[in-house]
Amino acid sequence: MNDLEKQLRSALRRCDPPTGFAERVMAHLDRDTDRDSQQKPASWKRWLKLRWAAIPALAAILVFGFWFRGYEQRQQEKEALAAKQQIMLALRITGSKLRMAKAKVKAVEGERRKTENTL
Amino acid sequence: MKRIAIFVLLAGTIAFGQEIKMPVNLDKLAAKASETTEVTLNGRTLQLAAKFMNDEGDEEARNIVKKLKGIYVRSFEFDKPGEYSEADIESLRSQLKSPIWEKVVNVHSKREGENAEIYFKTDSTDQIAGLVVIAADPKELTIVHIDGPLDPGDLEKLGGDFGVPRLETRPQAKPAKAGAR
Repeated sequence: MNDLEKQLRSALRRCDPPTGFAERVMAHLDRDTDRDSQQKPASWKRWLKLRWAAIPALAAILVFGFWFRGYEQRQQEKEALAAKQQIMLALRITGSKLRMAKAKVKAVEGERRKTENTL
Repeated sequence: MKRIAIFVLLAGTIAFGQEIKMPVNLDKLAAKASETTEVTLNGRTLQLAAKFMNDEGDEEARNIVKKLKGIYVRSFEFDKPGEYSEADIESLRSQLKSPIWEKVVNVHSKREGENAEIYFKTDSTDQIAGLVVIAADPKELTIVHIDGPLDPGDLEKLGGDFGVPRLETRPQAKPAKAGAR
C-alpha cells in the first residue's frame, strides 16, 4: 500500500457526524421554506406588473395562430384541387382504356359470330 | 411477444407483397416518349381531394374516389413504333398472379398490334379490390392501377362518364370474363 492510498483511506474513512448536525440541517430547511413562501406574493406582484406586456404578446400569438391556420387551409385546398385535376385525368384515361377494351372484345365476339354463322 | 412481432412482420411482408410496384424501367420510357402522363395519388391525397369535390358533376367521381387507396397511371405516347418492348411490361405482369389477381380481359390484335389486358384483384368476399389495365398499341403504352374497392356500378361510371360514353354493363352483375386472343 503506497502513501497515496493511505492518505485516501484516512481521508475517506467513515466517521460519525458531529452532535446536533441533523438538527442544524432541519433548521436550515425550515428557514428556506419560510423564505420561499414569503417570496411568492412578490412574484405575483411582478406578474401583475407585466400583464400589460403579456396581453399584446398573447394577442400576437393568437393572430399568428389564426393566420397560420388559414394559410394551412389554403395550402390544403390548393393541394386538393391539383389532386382533383389529376384524379379526373386518371379516371378519363381509365375510362377510355376500358371502353377501348370493351370495343375490342365486342369486335372479336362479332367476328367469331360471323365465322360461326358462315359455318 | 416475439411471436406477435414475427406475425406482424410476416403479415406486413404479405401485405407489401400484394402491392403493385410500377416497374422502374417504365420511367426510362418517359425519355423516349413524345408525351408522358404520370399520375400518382395515394390514399391520403385521394381522401383530401374527395373533400373538395363538391362541384356539380363531381358526385360520381367522389363516390368512387373516397373508397380508394391509390390511383397510379403511366401513359406514354411515342412518335414511332417499337420504342417499348414486352419486357417493359413483363415485370408488371409478373406481379398480377392468381389467386389475388384475375385476368378478365385479354385482347391481342395482331393486325393492328393493339393489346388490352384488364385484371381484377378480388378480396376474401369476392368483391373487386383493385383494377389494373394494360393497354398497348405500337405507338402507345398505358398502365392504370386503381387500388381499392370498386363495384360494377363504379366500372360502369368509369367507362361511361368523364367525357366518354357509358359501358353497357348490367346493374349489380359480376363482370363477365372475356378472354379473346
